[in-house]
Parts: sequence; C-alpha cells; structure tokens
Amino acid sequence: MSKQLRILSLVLVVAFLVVVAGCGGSPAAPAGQQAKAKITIAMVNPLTGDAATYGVSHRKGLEMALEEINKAGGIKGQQIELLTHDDAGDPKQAAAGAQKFADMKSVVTIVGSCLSSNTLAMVPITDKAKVPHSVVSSSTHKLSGMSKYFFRMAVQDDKVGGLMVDLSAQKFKPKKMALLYLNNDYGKGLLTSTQAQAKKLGIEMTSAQTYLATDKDYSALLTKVKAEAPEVLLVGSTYTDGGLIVKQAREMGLNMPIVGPTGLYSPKYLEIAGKAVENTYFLGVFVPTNPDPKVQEFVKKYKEKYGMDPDTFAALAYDQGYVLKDALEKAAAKGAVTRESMRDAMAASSFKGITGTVTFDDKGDWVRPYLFVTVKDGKFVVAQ
Amino acid sequence: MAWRQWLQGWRGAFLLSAFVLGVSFIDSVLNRPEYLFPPYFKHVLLISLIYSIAALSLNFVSGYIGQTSLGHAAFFGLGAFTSALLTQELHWPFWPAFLAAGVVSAVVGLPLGAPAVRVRGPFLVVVTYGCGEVFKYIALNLEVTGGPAGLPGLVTPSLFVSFNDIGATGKEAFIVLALVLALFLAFFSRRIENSRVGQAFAAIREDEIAASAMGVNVTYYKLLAFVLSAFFAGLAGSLLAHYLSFVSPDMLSSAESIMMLTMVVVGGARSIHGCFLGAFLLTILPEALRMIKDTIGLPFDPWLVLFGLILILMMRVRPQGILGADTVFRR
Repeated sequence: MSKQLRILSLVLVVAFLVVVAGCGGSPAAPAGQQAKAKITIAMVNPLTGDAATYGVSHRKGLEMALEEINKAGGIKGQQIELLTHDDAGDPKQAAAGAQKFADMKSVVTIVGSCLSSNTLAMVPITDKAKVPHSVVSSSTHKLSGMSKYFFRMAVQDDKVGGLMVDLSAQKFKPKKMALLYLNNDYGKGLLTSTQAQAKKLGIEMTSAQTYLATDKDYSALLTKVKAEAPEVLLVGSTYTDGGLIVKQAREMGLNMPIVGPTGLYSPKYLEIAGKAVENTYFLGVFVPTNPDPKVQEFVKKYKEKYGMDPDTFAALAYDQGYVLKDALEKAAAKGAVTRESMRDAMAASSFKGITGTVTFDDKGDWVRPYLFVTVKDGKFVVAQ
Repeated sequence: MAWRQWLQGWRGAFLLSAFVLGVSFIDSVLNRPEYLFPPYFKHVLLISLIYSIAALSLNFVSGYIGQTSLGHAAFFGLGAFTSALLTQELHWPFWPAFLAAGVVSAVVGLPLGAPAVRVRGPFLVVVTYGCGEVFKYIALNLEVTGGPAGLPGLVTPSLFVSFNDIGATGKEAFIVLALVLALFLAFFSRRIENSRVGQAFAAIREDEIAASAMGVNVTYYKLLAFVLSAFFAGLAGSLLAHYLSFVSPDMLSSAESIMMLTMVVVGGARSIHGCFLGAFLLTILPEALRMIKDTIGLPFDPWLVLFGLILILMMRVRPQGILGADTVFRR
C-alpha cells in the first residue's frame, strides 16, 4: 500500500469521524444542558453562490432582531441562539441542512431558505419532523398549504402580478400594457396573474416576452415593445435584470412608466439602472424612507450595524425574528417550548412589525397589503 | 496491493453491506431514546450510495471504454423526471415507474451515444456537455416538468411505508434499495469486465483502430456502454427523486455531471471500489468540512478550495485515481 494511499484513507476515516462526532455527538450530549440555557433557532440559506445576497440579507436581519431580543432578556431569561447551514443554492444541500437541524432536538424552529426550489426540498423533511418552518422569501404557489408546520412571510407570485396590474390601472389608467418576465417560476407566476388581472380590467396585453436570468442585452425585446407603444411596461424581474431592462429601455427612448414586482426593491437596482430609475414603480413591502418612526428606527440601527441600507429580505427577516419571539413567548407561557407548542403559537401569530401586521391564513400564507414604491432623487419613496 | 485483492468480490460487498445495514438498523435494534446515528448521517449515507450507483454507471463510458462524458447528469435527471411524471401525472405505482425511468434513460441514451461512435476525446466532452445543457433547458422551460422550481410532493413507494415501521427514521428502506442496486451494479460490472464484452470494451479503450481490425464491432460496443450507463443512471435518478420527494432541473446541471465524473476520476476509473470510494468521499467531505467550519468558526467554506486542491493533487500524484489500476495511464 503506497504512502499516498494511506494518507488518503486516513483523510476518509477522519472525515467519517468528524461527521459522526459533529452530528451524533454534539447535539446529543450538550443538548440537555443547552435546552435550559438557550433556545435554538436554525437557518438554512444560500450564504455562498449566486443567490448569496438573499441569504446573507436574511441572516443579517434576523441576527439583528435576535441580538436585540437577547439583550432585552431573551425569552423568560433564556437566550436565543442561531445556527446556520449554507445550502449554496442547491436543493440537495438544503434538504441535508433541514435534516441535520430536524435531528437536533434542541432546535425548536427552522427558517429559510430564500429560494423556492430549496424550500420545496426542505418542507417534506420539516413536515415529517414536525418542526415549525418559516421563510421570508420563496414565492411559488406550490408551497401554499404544503404542510401545517410551514409558515410563509413571503411575497407570493400569484398575488403580486394581479396587484401590479391593479395599481398601474389606478395610477395610469392604461389601455395597453406589455410585459417582460424572467423565465423562472417567479416570472411565470407573474405572467399568469398579470394576464388574468389585465383581462378582468379590460386592459390589452400587447405582448409578454420572456428572457433568461443570464441575459445582459434586452434590445431585441425592447424594440418589439417600442413598436407596440404600450402606456405601461410591466417587468417581472429581480433587481439585476430589472435594472438593466430599465436602463436599456430609457436609452432606447421608452419613457413610459415601468412597473415591477417587489424584487426590484434593492439598493443594487439603483446602482445598476442609474438615472433611468425615475418614473419606475414597483410593489414594496418595506421602504427605508417610509416616514413611519418604527421603520426609521430600524433603518438607523441596521445602518449602524452593517453600514448599508436594509433591503426587503433584511426587513422581513427582522420582523420574522420578532414573530418567532412572540411565538416563543406564547409557547413558553404554557411550559417548556416544544416544536408542537411553537407551531400552535406561530399559527396564531398576530404581530405588528415594520413591514405590516403578520398573520397566517390556514395555508400558512401571510395575506397582506403592499406599498406602491417609486424612486425620487435616487431614493426609494412611497408613491403618492 | 494485497488488501485490494482481499477486498475483491464477495468480501468487499459483505463489508459494505455490514457497514451500511449496521448504520441503518442499529438504532432500531438498540431502541434507545438517543440515536447512535442520527437521520442526518443516514441521509448522507444514502446520498453517497445513490451517487455510487451514478458513478458506477458512468464507469461504463468513462472507465471501460475510456470516453469522457460530461452529460451524465442528463440521464440521471431524465430518470428522475420520468418516474416523477409517471407517478404524479399517470398515477403509476413506484416500481414500474422506477423501471421505466431506467428504460427511458436507456432509450434516450442510444441516440446520445451515437456521437460517441464518431467523435472522442475533447470533442465528445463538448457534445455530451451540450446534450446535458439541452436537457436542462428543456426541463426549465416545460410546463409539465414544473419549470425552474421542479415537481414537489412525489410519492413514497407504498411498500416502503410499511417497511418504514422496521426502521427508525424512514430512510432505511431507501438505503436498503440503494444498497441492493449498488451491489447488483458492482456485481454486474465485475461480470462484464471478465466477459467477452469487457474484453471488447478494453480493446476499444486501448486502441480503437486495432480493435476494429481484430473484428470488434466498435459501434455496437460503444452504444452498448452508453445504453447500460444511461439505464443505471436513470434508476439512480429515480431513487434520488423519490427519496427527496422532489425533483428540479438542478439535477440536470453540468455541475452535477462534473461531480459524477470527478467521483469516477478521483476514485479510480475502471475500479469498482474506486467508484464507491469516489462517491463516498465527494459526498461526505463537503458535509464534514462544513462541520469543521462551524466548529472552528471559519468565515468561508473550505470545501471549494479543497476540492480544487484535491483535483490538482490527484492529477499530479495519482492520475489513474486513488484505486485506479496501477498501469500506465492512457487516454
């Protein structure tokens, strides 16, 4: 047996031992003592890879809320600790993370992931383990009512499209609209719902064109839009592609209002689209310029801590932290917090946060009103 | 390498089964409140076994006939989507859908293997990579495959539901099925190696022109390798889909294909033990490193760095793979 082979087999053995020790040993042994001292919340999220911005924002917002809660004495004197698992945007790894945390008896609730596919892979596992599971993003309609342990504080595709059309109709009274949408579940959900709502209101959809997330040049699509001359251009995008579309549309002389979903709301959108952002509107859950003093306080604290404006993920995550705290307190009032008592408390949530009042319907979805947001002087503001 | 000889055949199979079954069922036997091996460990074990099947199936193409394929995930994903759709849309029971997954993959593998008859080396890499990407984009865009989010809520085989009462965590039945399939495939591969077909594969691998001059039907054997490879990859894909009860186009991605090829190359092409080793190593290492990262609080995941390092070191030190044959490495 060669020397290298021996070294490699040693590595394999060590790897095995680490896995056994890491997941078998640690949660089993100290869990008993930890359960008294700390309440454990676990997060599965893309913290590296293409979707890392979402996951990292989610973590920052939640961490900030938990820090505040812990400073104020925690839950009946118990501190809350947060464990994280990086799924790198891969559903298999998200499933592994969900399973890892479901196994740890000290984990009372799981949060994440920010991607629909990953959440879809996690829900069967959290459902089987009966762990309350909540997300701030993952908008696919397939998640509605999938498990009675699943709670969604996220925007939902099938609601957003209709609202985009409703609000455009109120504000601009258009006869013709065109749509550009991202070719993924999010974009396709928007396609269905916008078309349905436009039909209902008697607005003509001149065209609905799709593109890939990796596209950088939208001139072909926009040329067609220009020829059709709709009064409002709807975009079903995230901030990267949405920013580029807006920028290129303005360069091509398309000056009509552009209306988008919640995904456009990010400081990155302003960076990418530059001056082109004036006269664009989108649905929002949270705007840092919202004069509401509660919102202002959050923005100030977030900026102090992380040196940047919070995005929607961070704001929702912050509210999620307090929704969890509320549920934990309610559950703790009835004795030691269990996954079951936590679930019941979550289902009965009614918490007024910075993004609105959080309540869940019988499918675990948050039914909520939205803000109509626009950009003025390079800042997001609530549209009048 | 005496120990490798010792591990050949039934002994190796017995040790692997003992390990896998031991891990799976010791908790059920002991019946203690704390798991000795928590479900997470079994999850990793099961994923390792499924990838062992995938690596063994890729070994027909990338090992025995020595062609590099970067489109193996296409067959893997095709099997997953086939059995997902059959059970969900047509309400087939799991078992026929499971077999159909293999058959559909094999049938599709036939035309995809056709380019391999004409091109090889880097050209085949491009062709197979392209085919894989085509499948991914088809799955991303079709309504019936659920688009980018995929299809959730696949059925768990009904036989397993009753079987699950034996196991403690609901994963044991899948582990047993994956183990049986992996061992069967290992046995099958060993028999092929020593058969006329295996000799033909070897002849084609070493020198295609010489092989055809000796009367080996190169076209037939190359297609045979592709079809066998696709069939077993389809079965593995179906198993993974039903285990996760979820299938998405991510399963068809080129990253997945590259991972499978890496398993074969790192473990050792043409070595059955090597395929198992490669699959286990590349499934367990990322999880292990995550543990290390969490334990010592590293700000980044060391896996990606190490992954590249492993590949470079392997190519420098042991290009034939950890358990690859100790002959001169040939392309």
